[in-house]
Amino acid sequence: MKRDKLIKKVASQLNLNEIEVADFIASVFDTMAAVLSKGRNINIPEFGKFIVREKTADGVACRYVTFSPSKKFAEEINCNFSHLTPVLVSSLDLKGLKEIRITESDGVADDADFVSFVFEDTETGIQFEAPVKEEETPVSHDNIVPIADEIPEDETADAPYLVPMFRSPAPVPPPEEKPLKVIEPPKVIEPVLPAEEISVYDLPETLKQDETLPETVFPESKLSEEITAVVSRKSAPVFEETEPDTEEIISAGEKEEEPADEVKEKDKAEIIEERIITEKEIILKDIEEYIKSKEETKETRHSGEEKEKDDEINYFTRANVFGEHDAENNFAVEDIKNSDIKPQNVFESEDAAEIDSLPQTEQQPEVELEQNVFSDLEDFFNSENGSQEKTEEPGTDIIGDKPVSTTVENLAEADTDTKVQSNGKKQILLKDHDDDLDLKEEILLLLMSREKAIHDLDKYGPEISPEEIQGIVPEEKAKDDEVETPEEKESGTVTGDAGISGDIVFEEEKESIYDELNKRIAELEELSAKKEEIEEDLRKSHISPEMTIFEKLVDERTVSVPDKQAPVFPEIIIHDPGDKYEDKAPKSLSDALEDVNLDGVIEHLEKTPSVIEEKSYDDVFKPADIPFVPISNQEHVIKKQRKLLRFLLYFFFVVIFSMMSFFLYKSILTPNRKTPVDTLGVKINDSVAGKINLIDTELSKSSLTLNEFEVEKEGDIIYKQRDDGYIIQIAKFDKYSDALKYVSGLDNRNIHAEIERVDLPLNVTEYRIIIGTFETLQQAKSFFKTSGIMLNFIKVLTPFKTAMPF
Amino acid sequence: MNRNSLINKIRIKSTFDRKTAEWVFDTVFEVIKKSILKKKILQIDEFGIFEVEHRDMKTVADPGKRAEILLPPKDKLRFKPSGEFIKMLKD
Repeated sequence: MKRDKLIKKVASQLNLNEIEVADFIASVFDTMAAVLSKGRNINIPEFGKFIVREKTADGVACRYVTFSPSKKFAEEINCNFSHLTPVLVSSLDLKGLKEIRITESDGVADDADFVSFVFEDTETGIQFEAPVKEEETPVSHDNIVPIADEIPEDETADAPYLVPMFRSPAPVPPPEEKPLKVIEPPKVIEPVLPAEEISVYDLPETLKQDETLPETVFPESKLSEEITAVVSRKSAPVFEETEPDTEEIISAGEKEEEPADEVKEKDKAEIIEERIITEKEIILKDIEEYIKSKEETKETRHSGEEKEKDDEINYFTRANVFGEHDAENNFAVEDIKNSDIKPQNVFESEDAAEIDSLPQTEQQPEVELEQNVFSDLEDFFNSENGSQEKTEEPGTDIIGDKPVSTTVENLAEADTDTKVQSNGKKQILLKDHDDDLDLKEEILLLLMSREKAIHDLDKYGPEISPEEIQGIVPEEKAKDDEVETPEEKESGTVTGDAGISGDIVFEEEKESIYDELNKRIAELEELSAKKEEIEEDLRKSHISPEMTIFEKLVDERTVSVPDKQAPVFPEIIIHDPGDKYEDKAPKSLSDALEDVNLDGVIEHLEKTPSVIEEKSYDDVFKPADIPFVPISNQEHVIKKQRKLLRFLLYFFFVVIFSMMSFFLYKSILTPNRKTPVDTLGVKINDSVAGKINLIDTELSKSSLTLNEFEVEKEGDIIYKQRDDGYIIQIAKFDKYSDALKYVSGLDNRNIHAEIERVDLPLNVTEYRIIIGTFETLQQAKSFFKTSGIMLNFIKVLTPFKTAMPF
Repeated sequence: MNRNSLINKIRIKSTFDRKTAEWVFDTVFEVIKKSILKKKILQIDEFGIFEVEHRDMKTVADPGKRAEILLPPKDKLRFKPSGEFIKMLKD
């Protein structure tokens, strides 16, 4: 159907001209298009709605029109299928489904129009499936089949996740499986530090071969061996080790087992110190042994041949230490070098007599060698250890050229511990020294004694007399004297003068000690005072309001307490006055004090309060002066007052506003009701005399007949009498159109009414609505009663401006 | 825009009084309705085409109700604006 058919149909139905209908239809659709193009919607009842919508396509905003038919019209269109309702095909277990596809587009849909929900079979892994773009095939409901039946129950039960999949998710490739490699952490090689175990030298091959040597060595050869060993120790960086049982001297020139590069610097220092200490001990031990052996050698001397043998042995051992060239240079005995004595013969003879018979020329080199050794040792100590180590060692004192060791044996036993390894190497385990501990103990004892002395002084106080101290001290001194006296008693030098001098010295020492102690006490007092000041400053810095109150209370209390050291006044003795002073006798204690003129005492007594008044927080701040008014009540009262004032103000403004509005309504909007109905069309205005004349002239001109007068008035309804009968004036209008409208309304209700024009003075015209002529007034009234309701209703419907004022 | 206001606008251009205009207006749309119901299509020049479309039944999975529903076939009215009208809308 097209427009022309539509026009024809409409025109035939309505019996109208086709041209007019065509124009009308054209105007209908043109206006509709214009309205819609302006963006306004059109709602045609029982047909439908044209709705203008906006959308953005390719970034450009555009409008399009949609039509939604009315419900009734839509049902009429869909009448063939309206009885059909949607059917629930199957309950959907979303967990069991692998995929759900919901389309939103109408008609033919592509895969791109679907929103897919893909479900995962396993709990851990999430599988994404991108929608595969199929060939252009119409999608129908047959194509969408739930796959729940295809999935086994076990798998569907364990599919807990619902993964929404949107239109273009990028497929995530599964991660490639790479073979795992076990990477072992790098091994940390810890350096092996020789803490206390020090591997020294491998045993020399010569000595290893000579393990079968007898334990007892020829003394002369032993001496030379020792000397060579001592010298070699000095020159060698590492000390040698000696076995206490065998007392064999290990030859030098051996190699170190472990290189020193592997040791850390710290450990090196420790090792060096330990080595020095052990070396010293060994040297001292060697020296002791050497002295002993020397004493023995004086008693027992070898024969010349045996000595040569010994010298040869010494040469060989020395050659091992220094090399052959050094041995030739250093060794004093040149002749021994060329001798033929074998080492095996050394142990054959040992006679003291033969030793005494040795020539002096052969003995001199030994003495020189000893001197050289001692000088070397001294130099070595001075250079290597320094002077401090000498002082730290308790038992070593160098007297002249010879070092004297008092506790060398003990130290050697305590500080060294030997250990023989399986591979022939020898190690020395060192122990800690007690030298430092001894020193510390001594220092501690001294300090303790000093503190004890100070304590005693404090105990006895500063006023202790020197005699008391003497009483304490002489006992100790007496003991000392007892220790010292035996020699003196033997020598007979002990006299009374010596005791006096000792007392003087003791007193001097005592005084010096007291001076020092007093100084120290003064220092301590100063320090304590400073400490108190600092504490006070700290307290003040961290002061809080509560603390201030507390301090104030404390200050009040302290002020009120009288001083302990009150002024001492002379005693007041009130004697019995007797008869003489009977008249002058004071009546009370105050009178007596006044008599004595001790005003100060009275004032003091008056000032000192008898009872200490304990002040509280309220007493300090005097809260009683301020009248107690709860803040909440005050606020409440103020709030009430404010509310009341606000209410009064509002009320006042409302009253004023209402009065103003009332007066405005009365004066401006509503006309004056008091004015009487001017039936003659003349307004009564006596005040204006000039206007009356005008009215008279107008009346003379007007065609209004005066054969009409008002009979009765009921509200707006006026009953008038004319010559021909009675009429009812039901309304009057300023405009003729309004009057005509009113009359047409009455005509529709079958009430015949007439419009009467009345020209009033001052160019005022009225259009009065008049009903009938009735013969009698009763007939007029009865008519109005029957049709009065309708008349009033019509009057209400008439516009306000044009209606008659009432 | 309501029916009355639309009629008022149309009456200015036409020679019909209001009553007649209303009468004609209602008649036009009644004829349009009948023709659509009868012939399934109505073409109005320079305005558009009213056309009835048929939609086949289809199954839809409703995740909210957890059910699969078979929707019945349906006839639906569709309005396709003409080119001139679209131009007017764009302008």
